[in-house]
Amino acid sequence: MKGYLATLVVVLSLLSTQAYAQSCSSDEREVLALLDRVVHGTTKPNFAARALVQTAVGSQQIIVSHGASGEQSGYSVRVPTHSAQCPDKSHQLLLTANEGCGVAQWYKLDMRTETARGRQTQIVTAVPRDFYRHGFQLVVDQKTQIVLRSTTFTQGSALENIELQSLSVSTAAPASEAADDNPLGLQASPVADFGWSPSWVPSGFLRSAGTVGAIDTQTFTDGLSSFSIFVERPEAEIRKGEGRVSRGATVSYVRGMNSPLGPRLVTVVGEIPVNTARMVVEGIDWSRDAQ
Amino acid sequence: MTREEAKQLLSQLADGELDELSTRRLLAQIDGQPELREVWARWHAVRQGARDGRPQRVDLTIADGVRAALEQGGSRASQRSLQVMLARFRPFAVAATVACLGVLIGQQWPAPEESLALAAGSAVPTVRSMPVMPIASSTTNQLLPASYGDRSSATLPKPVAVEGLYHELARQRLEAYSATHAARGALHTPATFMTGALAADDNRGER
Repeated sequence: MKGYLATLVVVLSLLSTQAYAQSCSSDEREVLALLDRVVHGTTKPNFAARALVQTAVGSQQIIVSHGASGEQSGYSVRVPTHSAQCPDKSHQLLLTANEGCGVAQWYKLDMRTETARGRQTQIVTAVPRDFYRHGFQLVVDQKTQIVLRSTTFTQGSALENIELQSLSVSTAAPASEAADDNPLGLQASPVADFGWSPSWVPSGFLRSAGTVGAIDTQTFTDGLSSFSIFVERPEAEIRKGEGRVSRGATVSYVRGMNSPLGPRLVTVVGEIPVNTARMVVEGIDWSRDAQ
Repeated sequence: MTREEAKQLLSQLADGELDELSTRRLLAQIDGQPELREVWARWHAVRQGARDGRPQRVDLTIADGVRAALEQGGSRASQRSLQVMLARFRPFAVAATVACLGVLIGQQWPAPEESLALAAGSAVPTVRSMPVMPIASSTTNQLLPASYGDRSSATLPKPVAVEGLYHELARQRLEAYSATHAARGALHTPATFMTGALAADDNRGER
């Protein structure tokens, strides 16, 4: 009798999960469509702004620009855009048609409209449905689709807050920025044979990029959060241990370990809780590791 | 012996960790440098003040007390006398250590202008050029104790805790990899941008 009940519970839970994955409310679709426009909208105008970055250790002002802009300096960050052909997994994750309900499967999405500083804005709040990722709140300018403020939080506490100030929007037509899609010239090789792979990542995270070399790198994203795994191969012996530091919402978790083929130094950098990073590292499968 | 070396030995003496030979050398040094005697006396005054909560008269004859204890030879009584003398200085040695730590920690905090300068001057790091920070293994690169003949000296360098090494590694890796991660992550998130893109060293205060 207990066996039947257990089976019934498992089946029901699977059905409910499947039903949720398939169903997507109109509100969620609306939020997902907005996020999709924000991430790779083709009509986003060029802009420049002074941004205030606030973290637990202080605040900093920098210049943020998008598209063709004037002079660049060490204080400036360029926000990339995406071409329609960009084979990026996160785009698919945000599209409801391709991936069930997109990121709404992993975040509880909410959106409301407010007027701030004379601008009509949409405030999107994404609360994680599990403990493996942080939450986000975005204030999006309704007219330009520019994110005026983004806040990363965990359990109700803000980790970092980035707010655009003195926004200057160009009236010129948005320039083609295919080159900006890959500012560092990174070559994504999702099908490369790394010889190692994390046997566990939180639900919804897919590998979006990777490079094989002296330092292997794999990047994973669920459409809102992302993390990268870096694997180094020290020549000397390594003393096992772990350490971590954080900057705003970004954590750096390091673990020294021995794989079957020698010592490895694994680093996870990402906007995820440190426990998630630790679980990812502990679950790395080295069985196909090769020097 | 330089003045700084003498000060270091003074600190070790106050901590009760200085062997007899070094103690004698230090006392000889103090004889030739009155300012060292003053340093010794000031430390003692600070220690007494911290203990009693009120200023103390500076006693410049403490070194003589130590010397007298040594002059009495290797008897147990004299050793006990020396230990008692040294024990008097342990609390202020701890205070001096804390003060030194304060200096070190203070140096970890860059001024705001310095932080901005670091941010401005930072470039995207070449990840492949980053060397792996060497980690002393348990079987190699062992630190050997200094010794006098077949007798080892009183102190060994204290090993750095592996947690501290990995904390530093995590900080280094954050500096080295955050820009790479942000360049990729920025393609995935609708957030304004990722702070890793700044590649700024603004988390030193968390150490």
